[in-house]
Amino acid sequence: MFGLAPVDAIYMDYAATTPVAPEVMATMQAALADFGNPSSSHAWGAQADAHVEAAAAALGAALGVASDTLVWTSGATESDNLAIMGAARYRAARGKHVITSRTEHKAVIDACKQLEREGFEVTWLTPEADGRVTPGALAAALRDDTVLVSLMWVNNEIGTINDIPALAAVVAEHDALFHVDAAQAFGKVPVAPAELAIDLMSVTAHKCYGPKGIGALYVAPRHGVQFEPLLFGGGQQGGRRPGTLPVHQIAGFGRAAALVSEQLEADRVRLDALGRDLAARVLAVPGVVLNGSATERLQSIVNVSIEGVAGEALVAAMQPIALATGSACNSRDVAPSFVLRALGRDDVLAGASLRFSLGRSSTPEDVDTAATRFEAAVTRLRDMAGDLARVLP
Amino acid sequence: MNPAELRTSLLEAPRHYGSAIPGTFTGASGSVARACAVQFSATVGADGLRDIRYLVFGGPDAIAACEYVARRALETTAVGSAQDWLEALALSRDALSTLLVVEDAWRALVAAATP
Repeated sequence: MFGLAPVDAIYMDYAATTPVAPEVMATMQAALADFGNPSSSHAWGAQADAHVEAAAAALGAALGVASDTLVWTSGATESDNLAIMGAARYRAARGKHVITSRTEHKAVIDACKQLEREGFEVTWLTPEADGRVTPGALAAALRDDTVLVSLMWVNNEIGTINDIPALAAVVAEHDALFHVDAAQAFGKVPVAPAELAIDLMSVTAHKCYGPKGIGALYVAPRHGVQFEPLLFGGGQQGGRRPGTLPVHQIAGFGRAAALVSEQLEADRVRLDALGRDLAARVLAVPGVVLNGSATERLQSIVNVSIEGVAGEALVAAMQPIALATGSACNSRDVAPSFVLRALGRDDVLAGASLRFSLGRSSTPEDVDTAATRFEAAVTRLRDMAGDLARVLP
Repeated sequence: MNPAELRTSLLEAPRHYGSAIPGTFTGASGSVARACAVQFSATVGADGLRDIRYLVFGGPDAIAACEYVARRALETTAVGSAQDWLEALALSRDALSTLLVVEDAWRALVAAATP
């Protein structure tokens, strides 16, 4: 592309989704053979239910929680919706104030906007420039009528890690529930909600080498941690999330969670080192700035803004290396990343962003190839743009 | 070569990008802040058009269109319009606004070069 030397295809979009681990596929295949409905009382049902129970135990162990504190959902979006809308509606008689931040995943932002349409008041915290929400800002926003706080553990675009223990401690001093979106954190950093004052926590399988279409919501076994269901029709999961359980999906999530328990630390050490190498190489290119925290960040996510190039062209120039960009510059109506905008980046830099995200299959050779290609691509695109930034700002 | 192959070939080997040679005619449109900016420049001799150069800040559609226009201009006098380029390169209609920036820049060049 653009006259650059060809390179082999490399996947560097693990923050978007991960490949399904071979062990997970094998587990899912076995579960598919046991076709019974896990709610049935006969032998076929019991066979299917055994897969669900095993998966709940594995996920519970990975999270350090009892298996009966987990509600299966279709993924993190549903978990977030269920936690936010369900809990806020359940607690509406106590108050109608909710707190979240401007850099949350859309599943949280749009759920909070729905609450606004229903008459709730939402305080939208603006994180610091590095993407972190400070305990002080949260404490200042809490009110007597606050019923729910929802914040993410790891930001999906920039990898910044919120200080969840400190934030949980702040919420614990109030009557509000604390929901944490851990979709990007689970499998990458230790998450132990039961050790913190976390009331509700969303996780998903496809960010940790499990299948798409399955997630879970942790519900702390404490008085007052309750929510209204979003779905109706059947008594499964105590009516909190009815519907016939997708046994093979759940089994796959359970196996992926077991792999997390076995490999998290080794993965983390290796990917941190790879991510640091990649960041150092990429940031050595003039006019490239890091988005997010330099230190309090999932080092395997490297999000940068590049002066003098359009993000969409850069993604094309990087092909066949699979990356993500925050820009959508296919028309005159540019839609730069709302996360980067919230952190103070201007439209041009927010639109010219690139996210590298590494995972289990990433190698030092991949990092070297990507960094070399990045430098060549930026140089070529800057040559093609010349001095247009001065002539046509 | 079908339109999709043409687009790919234009992106794989752009030949006409580069800064304007001083003293040549130029035409520009768009804005970097709005994610698409284009400047064409042309060297014209007594025997007609001799060379075309362009600078482009934008996505792949904008780059492909600039290269296409430059090649067409050197091959034929019928460069066409944004609508023509949309079809010639098999782009989605979402690309039309980008191509209109390219067309505006081209028209500005033609106006500047027309006595």
